[in-house]
Amino acid sequence: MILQHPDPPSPLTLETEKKLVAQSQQGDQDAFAALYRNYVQAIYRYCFFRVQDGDHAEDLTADVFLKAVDGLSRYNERGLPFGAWLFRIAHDRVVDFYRKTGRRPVVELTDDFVSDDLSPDVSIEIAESHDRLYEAISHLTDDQQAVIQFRFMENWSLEDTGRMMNKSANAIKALQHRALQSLQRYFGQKNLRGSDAQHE
Amino acid sequence: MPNMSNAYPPDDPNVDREDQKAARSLKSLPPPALTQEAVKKIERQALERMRTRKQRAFRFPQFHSFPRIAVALSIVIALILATSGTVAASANSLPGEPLYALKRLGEQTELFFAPADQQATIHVAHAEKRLSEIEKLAAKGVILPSLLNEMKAETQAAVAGAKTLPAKQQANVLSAIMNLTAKQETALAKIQSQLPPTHVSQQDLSHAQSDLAMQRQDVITHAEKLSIPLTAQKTPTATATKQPATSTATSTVQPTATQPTLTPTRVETHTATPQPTSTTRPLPTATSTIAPTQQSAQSTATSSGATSTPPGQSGNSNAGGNPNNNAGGNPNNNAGGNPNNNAGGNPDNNAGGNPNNNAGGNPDNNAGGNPDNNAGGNPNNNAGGGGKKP
Repeated sequence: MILQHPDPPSPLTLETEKKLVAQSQQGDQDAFAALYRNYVQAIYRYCFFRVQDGDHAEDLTADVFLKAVDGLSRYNERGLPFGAWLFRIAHDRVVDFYRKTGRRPVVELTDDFVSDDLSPDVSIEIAESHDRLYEAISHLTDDQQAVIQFRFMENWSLEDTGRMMNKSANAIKALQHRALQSLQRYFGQKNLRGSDAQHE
Repeated sequence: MPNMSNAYPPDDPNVDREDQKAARSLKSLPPPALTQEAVKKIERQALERMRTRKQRAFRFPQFHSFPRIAVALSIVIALILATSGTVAASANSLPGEPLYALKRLGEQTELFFAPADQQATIHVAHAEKRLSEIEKLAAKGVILPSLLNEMKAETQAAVAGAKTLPAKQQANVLSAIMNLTAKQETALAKIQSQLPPTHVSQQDLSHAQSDLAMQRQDVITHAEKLSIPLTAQKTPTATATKQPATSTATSTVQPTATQPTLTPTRVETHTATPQPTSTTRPLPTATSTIAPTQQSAQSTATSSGATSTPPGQSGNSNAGGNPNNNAGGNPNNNAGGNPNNNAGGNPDNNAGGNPNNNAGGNPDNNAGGNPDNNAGGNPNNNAGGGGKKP
């Protein structure tokens, strides 16, 4: 895994995707390659935030696209982006990964997980490394993780994110708010614990 | 992590004010990403998988198991649909309607699961369904040659299946086939009579009638050979033999096991018990059978007079009981001297000397001596020696 800024967003329109999917279903490898390149990093990140391991995430990403090839003939476009189908496959692969490895998803952040007494402005600054932030994201609920990834890493709009998750833009905005609040509270809790340790 | 609240990127209008700082921090972080090497590696794997699947797809039809899988799948689907009542809903569907394919699939499934000794009976039932469809479509002005062929095929399959049964069972099934072919020929003759002589489907209908008559004859021959008593309740039909346009056509009676003697009968109403009263026509004549109800009258034409028998007989181009195509010297479809729809002396469509659709000496669709569609010496589509138009 390397760390880099995301590629400039160049989302495919639904129409373009539809054509590429149809061509792929006819065996057009170039068309499938275009779809692959459009989604591969997003799928990788989706897996990464859930398994917290670059190698496993890479394997899962490969698995997702191989499964996609296998199921391409059965794919029916229902007004959702092709990516929505890929993320569904990714979700299933991650669940399968947990089952096979005996690992369990990390404990999700809930509203009760950390104190509400902390200032978000302060708490977010506690994240001192990427790894800590990624770790924090991994504690979010599945939908919150997806929203954080799609909105702030893939730079998709509320509407595009909504289409990908089959939710309304307002629902995404609410989800986004809760996710950001949870992250800030998480870092606030860490900060509090660190301060407590120092005092002790 | 540095405080980047005032740095790139700018505020996101779609993020709540209190969350702007966190959002900016997230956006400024380089997210995890696959190396280009890994991206290409996975792409190669996926495209290789595509190639493999494409090659498999090309080979797939060669697998011998494919038809079995398809059949098994069809059966499973049909069973599911049957239990949901969809097949029942399709029972009245006609060719060209959405549920018709389902209806046929249900029939195939029924046949597939039926024991061997029931198959012939099922073929008879299917042939009757085809006949019913033909009649319904004809009422809408549609004649489907393919449907005629399917009905013939079902009848043929029924005959073939019946011959393989034990003698005792054969009697019942063969009798059912006799009744079936009588019904078929009656219906086809009626449809034919309602079409203009130049209609494109006239020939198809004539061919179908000839083929069914052959099936009928086959059954009779077979039954006679094995001394199987047939208990058919309906008489054989007047059969049209293919003949050129000549008035010298002869009619062949397709007999039942009882070989009824047919004489034109005057029938006052469609439901009246016919009386074997008159032999009306000189040349040519039709031998007609009259059933007590409309559906079972039948005529056979010979070159020498029309005769009719009373009840229990059936057929096409009949005298008595049928509104059209009767034997007897009526001008309209009757055998016997009724003004309408009778056997003998009717003005329309009678057997014997009628101008239209009569058996016996009518110009059209008659049995006996008619130029068109008659039984008895008709050149076209006649019952009893009336030939088809060439």
